[in-house]
Amino acid sequence: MYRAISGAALLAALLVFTACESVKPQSAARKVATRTDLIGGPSALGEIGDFLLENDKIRVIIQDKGFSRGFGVYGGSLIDADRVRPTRPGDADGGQGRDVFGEFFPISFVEALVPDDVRVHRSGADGGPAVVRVTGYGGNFLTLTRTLNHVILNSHELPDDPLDALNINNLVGDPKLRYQVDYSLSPGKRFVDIKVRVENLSDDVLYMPPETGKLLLGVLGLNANTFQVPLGYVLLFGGGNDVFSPGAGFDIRFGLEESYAKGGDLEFPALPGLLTPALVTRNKDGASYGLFTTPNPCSQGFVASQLNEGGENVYQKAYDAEVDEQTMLVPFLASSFTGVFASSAPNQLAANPGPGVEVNCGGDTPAHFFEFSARFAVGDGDVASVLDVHYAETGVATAPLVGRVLDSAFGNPVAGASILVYPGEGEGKPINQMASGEDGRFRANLPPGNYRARVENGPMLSGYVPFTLSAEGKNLVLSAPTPGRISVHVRDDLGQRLPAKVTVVGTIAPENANRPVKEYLFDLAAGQHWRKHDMVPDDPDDPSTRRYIEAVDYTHDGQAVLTVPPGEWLVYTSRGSEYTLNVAEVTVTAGETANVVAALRRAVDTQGYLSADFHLHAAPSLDSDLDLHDRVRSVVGEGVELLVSTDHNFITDYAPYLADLGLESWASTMIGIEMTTLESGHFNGFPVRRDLGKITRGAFEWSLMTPEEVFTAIREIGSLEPENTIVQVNHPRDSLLGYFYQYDLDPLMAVVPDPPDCTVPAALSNLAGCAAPNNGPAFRDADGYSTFSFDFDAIEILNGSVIGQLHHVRMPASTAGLDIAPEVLAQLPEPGTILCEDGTVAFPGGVDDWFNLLNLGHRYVGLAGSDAHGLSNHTGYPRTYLYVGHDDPRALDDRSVVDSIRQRRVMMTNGPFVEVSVNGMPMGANLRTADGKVEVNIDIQSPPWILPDTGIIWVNGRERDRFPIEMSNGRFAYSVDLSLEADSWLVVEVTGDQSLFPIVEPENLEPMQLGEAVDAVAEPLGLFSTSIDALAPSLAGVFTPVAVTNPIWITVGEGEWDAPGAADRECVGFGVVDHKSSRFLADDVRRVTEPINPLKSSFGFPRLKGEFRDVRVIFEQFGRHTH
Amino acid sequence: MKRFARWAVVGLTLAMGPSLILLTPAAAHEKRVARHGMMTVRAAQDGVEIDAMVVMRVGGERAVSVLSRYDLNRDGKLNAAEGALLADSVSPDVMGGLVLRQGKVALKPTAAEGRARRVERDLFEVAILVTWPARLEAGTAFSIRETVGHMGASQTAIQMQASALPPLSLRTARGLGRKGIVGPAVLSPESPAFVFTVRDARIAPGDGQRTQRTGLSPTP
Repeated sequence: MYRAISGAALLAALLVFTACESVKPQSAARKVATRTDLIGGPSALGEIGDFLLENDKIRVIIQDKGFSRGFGVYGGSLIDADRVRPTRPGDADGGQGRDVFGEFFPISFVEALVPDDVRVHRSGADGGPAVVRVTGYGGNFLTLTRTLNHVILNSHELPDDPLDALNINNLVGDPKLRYQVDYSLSPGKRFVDIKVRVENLSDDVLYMPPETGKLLLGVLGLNANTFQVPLGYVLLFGGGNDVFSPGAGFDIRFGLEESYAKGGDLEFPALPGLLTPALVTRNKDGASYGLFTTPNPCSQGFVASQLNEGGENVYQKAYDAEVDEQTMLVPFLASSFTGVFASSAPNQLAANPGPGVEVNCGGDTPAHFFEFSARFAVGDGDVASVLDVHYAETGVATAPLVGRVLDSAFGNPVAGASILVYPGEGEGKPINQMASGEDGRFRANLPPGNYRARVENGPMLSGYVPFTLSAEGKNLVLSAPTPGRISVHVRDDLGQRLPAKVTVVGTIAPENANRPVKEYLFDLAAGQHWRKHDMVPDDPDDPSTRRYIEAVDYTHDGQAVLTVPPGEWLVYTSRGSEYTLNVAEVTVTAGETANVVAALRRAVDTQGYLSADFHLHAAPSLDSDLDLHDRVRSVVGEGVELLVSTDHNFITDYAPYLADLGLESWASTMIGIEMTTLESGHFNGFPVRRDLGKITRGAFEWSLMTPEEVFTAIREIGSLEPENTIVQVNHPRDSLLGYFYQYDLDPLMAVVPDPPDCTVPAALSNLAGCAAPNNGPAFRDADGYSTFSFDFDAIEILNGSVIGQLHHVRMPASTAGLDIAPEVLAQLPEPGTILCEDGTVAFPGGVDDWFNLLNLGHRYVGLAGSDAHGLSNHTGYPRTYLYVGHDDPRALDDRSVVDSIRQRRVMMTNGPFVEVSVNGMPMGANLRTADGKVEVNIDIQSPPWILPDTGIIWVNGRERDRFPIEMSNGRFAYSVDLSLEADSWLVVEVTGDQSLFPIVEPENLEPMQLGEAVDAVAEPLGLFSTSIDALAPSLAGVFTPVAVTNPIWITVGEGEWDAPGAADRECVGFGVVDHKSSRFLADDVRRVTEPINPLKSSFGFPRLKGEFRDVRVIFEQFGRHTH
Repeated sequence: MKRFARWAVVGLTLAMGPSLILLTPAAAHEKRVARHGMMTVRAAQDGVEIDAMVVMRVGGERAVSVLSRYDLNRDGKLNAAEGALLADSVSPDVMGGLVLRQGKVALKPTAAEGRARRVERDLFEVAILVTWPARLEAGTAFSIRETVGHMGASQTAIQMQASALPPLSLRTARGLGRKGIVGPAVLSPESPAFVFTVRDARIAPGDGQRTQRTGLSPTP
């Protein structure tokens, strides 16, 4: 018997051994042949033909050659990554994983790799690492950086005459550098090793920079002898990833700003930036990621190698920080776009010895190539799971830290809490972060030592808990602070449940008045979100001046529950600009729920019009992580009735989500796209088709396309005929992202400029225009002429993200407190004059561009869109009102919307509802008058919380009349008789000074955009600078009411309507000089008329939507909040 | 005012016909008057209860005058008590000549309550909630109509719509309503009645026999 048992045990052991042998970890690389091989997830863009690297721990996708499907330009990049999950295999939609990563690719200075070959270099079948190899030549990630890459990196053949290099159009030489990138995954590892090799192809020694580069650097006043080419990576982490730097925590933004301040005196190429040993992310819904540099004998650490003449490290000196070979520099982080410089290249590469010759680098003799390396790790969603990998691979001795988070009020396990680890002493920032699981448990590996821990539970952050981690480990029980809840029930005056928005507003304590909020209101380094404040100077005695937004949520069914810290709160319930506002005061206690019943009343009669938001983003856009249900819920909650999905280079359909939420009676949807080029502008197209057969659902490749080709391609994916597909130019003056800005559309004449004179010596006085124009040679034809196209239909006149760029900036009434040099101040023009600098409008805005184009006879439709990327960042503000002749969004379809746009009875607003008629004819009309005398009638409506105060009538781009607005019972009517001398167009603009806080969230901070990243590189070169920066429009501030109508065209006398032509004006010094009097005949007759009967349609059933409720409930609510 | 007293007043005025508080010659030409009504049919122990909430909006100088009259404490607002008084006084105008019939039988209301609220300086709304009990038989038609004499030029038209709470559902000649709502219908001299039938999920269509209770209505 004993023997029998022993024999069975032996057999079992053998079986186990055999089984273990069969599951020995392996890695594999293969070309993706079917979508079931793909990873999938919210940010997944991998496609058949790409390359999969996988082992038992992680999976990553490397794009095939060609152009990028993501935000980058070229293929060959790492585009998807996730850990292996015990889920179903992939399907035809491209996988079931949780990829939340954007894109990764290496850069040499500011040059990227243009792959001509991507292949499996090692399959991993031999038990070793699997490798995907990408090879190609250098290309410009941004074409405006071509001069830097060619002339300083010496990546391409240069013109014989060094001065010719000052003209970017002359930089067309053949490449001299060859790139090779190996993505390598070993069995059992949770990281991909990345090795970049850059090889000199020529038979000559290659200097970096070459003599031409030294000349250019000399022209710019920079010391070429100290220059070393920085090498690094571009990381497009994606909107849902919070970026963490050990020692700076999640506060990368202010960490960067601090570094700019401290590193202001660093000399190029020692750019200022954040120093970090690693960049790691966390993501509550997917994987986390980390990037580390790894030692490579063929290059030096960029930060470590920046020495001054005395041999001191310039970063160590400027930042008082320890640096080593693995220290990375983050010079910019903008809109999910993170640049990292990690290594530096040698100053010269030997001539290429030819094939078959073995050469080692890192010795005393220069090799013909250099290399640099990094490690890309994939974690479980928190920082600790990524740093665990790093510690293990770098041999750092660690001990396990395990523990549990319990609720302080009830002792229940807390899932999803964030546990932050700090140094044991001092005022350090987090060095690690963990997330608690469903049972409240967490774990990490840390070097033994003294630490402190804090717990973030929803909106609350605990105090510090000191602990000592011994070599044996530590078990830690942490108490999480307990928040309370606010439950809100939203009804209209008939008692119906309403889709709505709930904003919880707090009051800053008097003792903190006028202190920067980030010092006491929240902790960015710990990962807490920014609380937006009212941007009103704080009065310690007046609470109404000290408000901030604690939480925002939307409800699709009239019920919302928000989690907030215990305390006193104001609860604002709103439903867009057609409804009243409800404000309630509540007291919240820990673990308890405070209830609010809010009644909203429809206050604006928009009969015949429906509101539309033509610019909306959600998770399919790289720079957003907003769930699609939340996107739909939020826009409908703001009272918008047509939702147009316009994700970046991805085609999304909101209709299934609208149906899922049961909101079809409240709103309709249209499918659109925002074609997002890197530097020639953003263009919306709608309505378009959604192609389920493509990973991007039908977005097309835009690289190297001229604008005309982009517009044609948009029309070809239209759901209607090409001529009925609307092409809209978005935020046209938004620096790198704006079409008009990038193509230098003349802000006074609306014409495209001739090529600049870039012959020497003219080029020396126009370095920015010749060596680094806004868009490079890709956007000019062979003769240097612009490829700008006027073949678009609409211009996004109002955009929620760049509301400060409405008009060309005028000279303000006062310059008190502005940082302007006295000699410049003395030259500034009269208040109200358009500001100029260097012979052109200093800060152009889209409305004036539109006016200029209208003057030339173009009839572009003005549209508005919020460009909202998050849940509540100006979602639905601004919006467009379309006259469709009915009030039922269910009756909308693509054609009726396009027809309505083409009728141009369209108004743009972030609050006031404005209708204008001329001789009884509405917006978009063409009318004729024999004698030029016309009657203009303007009707303005707004709910009580929106107060416009000024109206302007623009005729042919000039201010014809300005009138004060005094709202009475939500209405104001104004009439004026005008006498027009010639054919004209007329637009009405309505504005107000009143802040729309907290309903429309202010922008407390200027966003860090890609343009800032370029500036970070270019400003040390002196390429971009202005003496009147202080007068530039800010992208930070509160939103105030604004509305703009579309034009009415008026023909005076006989014949066809003649366009008035470009205004006769030019920039002289710092202001525009008008060569034609802007004064009109002074026979205008004004009058304020009686408000129109408010009962026209705002009462009764015509607009009744949504679920009908029990009338007893309705009756109970009736009159509760009467006044 | 207690609920009973208020509905008694309303019932009295309903029986008497409209008072003349608002329908003075001036008010007859006041265009800023509008009415609408909503009905909810709910299951009750012995059949159904039909609630109707009729809302009237009054604006203009007449509204200013009425609001002033009922602003008893002169605080410029309309509190709940003042609102109830105002509602009671104008309830005949609100209800007009509305009569609910089951088949051909006019039903009698068992409860009524009024509320009023000031919307703007010269605008207020009054809501009257009236409840009629009724038997429920399969396929019974209910009609609410504005009786002749109350729908002349002096009286604004009224829009009506109705819903039912589970397990009941409504149907009109046009079919089932969207999301269980039927209407709205404008009661006018040409089309003075709004007719709907009630279906009970507990009653098999046509046989009049109760089936398994759903648990949504009170135990018999």
